[in-house]
Amino acid sequence: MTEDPDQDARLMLRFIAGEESCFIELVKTHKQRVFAFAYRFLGNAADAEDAAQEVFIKVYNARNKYTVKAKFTTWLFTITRNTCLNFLAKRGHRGLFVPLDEKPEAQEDAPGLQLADPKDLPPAELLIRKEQAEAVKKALASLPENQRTAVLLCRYDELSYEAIAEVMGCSAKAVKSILHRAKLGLKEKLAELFQ
Amino acid sequence: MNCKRAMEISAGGLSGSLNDSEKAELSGHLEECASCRKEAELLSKAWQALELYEAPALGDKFVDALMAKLRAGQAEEQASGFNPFALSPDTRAALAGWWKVPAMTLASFAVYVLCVETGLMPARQFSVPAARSSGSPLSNIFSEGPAAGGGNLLTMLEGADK
Repeated sequence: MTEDPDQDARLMLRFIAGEESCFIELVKTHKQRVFAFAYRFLGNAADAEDAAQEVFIKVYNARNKYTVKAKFTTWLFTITRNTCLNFLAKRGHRGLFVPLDEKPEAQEDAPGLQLADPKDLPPAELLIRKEQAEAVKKALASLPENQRTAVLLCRYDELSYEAIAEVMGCSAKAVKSILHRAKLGLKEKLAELFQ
Repeated sequence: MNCKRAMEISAGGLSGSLNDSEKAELSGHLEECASCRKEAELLSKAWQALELYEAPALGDKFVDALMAKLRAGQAEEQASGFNPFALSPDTRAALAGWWKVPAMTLASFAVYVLCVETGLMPARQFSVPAARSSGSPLSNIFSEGPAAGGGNLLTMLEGADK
């Protein structure tokens, strides 16, 4: 992540002026965040990578619509969320949840994908963590779309309520309320994990 | 403070948004209420458990694949046809339906003429009282009809055809 938020805006302006290397720099800076959001939103790595590519293609093609008054990451996450929603619509209602180990080959074969190395953990611990991760994934997938978006942006991307509100097109007060309901929902769904 | 308010503050505070008075209010209630203490603990654990859901890391191939896709898209666009004006995709999208306006106008005019010719609709007659009263030649064209002495525009056009 770029430490200086103005750095993104500067890169974007230079890209609009014709410096394509600035676009590549922006992609390198934000690709992991965009992919991670899409991965947790869509529930599988192959779709998430396709969605992340589509996001940056949209950024490339819509560069002239970018205005500096909007923070780059807010703009980027707005595009990311809309792209993920399009992916869900294309996918139809065939459910969001794909177990973590259902398609290991697809995940490993996807271009540019590097799975976290689990060698550091003892096997028993690894199994527990995998089960817990599966439960968290399931719990997140069961949340309504707006709650899931708010949780991902708040918990993983550490966006402020105001920034989340901008991405979701609602008020900061509404975001607070959505997050409140999401946290209660997650608590119910993950309660078994802590018994 | 009641239990409902304690839960509201507790859930709201997970992302570190509590002010000092809310923190004091909450901790005071949690010391007294075992049920809320347990709920608050579960809320906190559930929120923390989200970190277990890790996303895999993307490698540098992603950028290369993306740039290749962009180049392929641009090449396809250029190969799809000669565009002397080289409009941007946004401009092209905005202009995509330009032909609808003249097409609708022509279609409406054709329907109107057809209706007039087949007698389904009487020809629209124009009257220009000011021109008629001043004796302008216009009064010969735009009058209330042939009976008024000057003939109407359609009659004159028919006359010209003959």
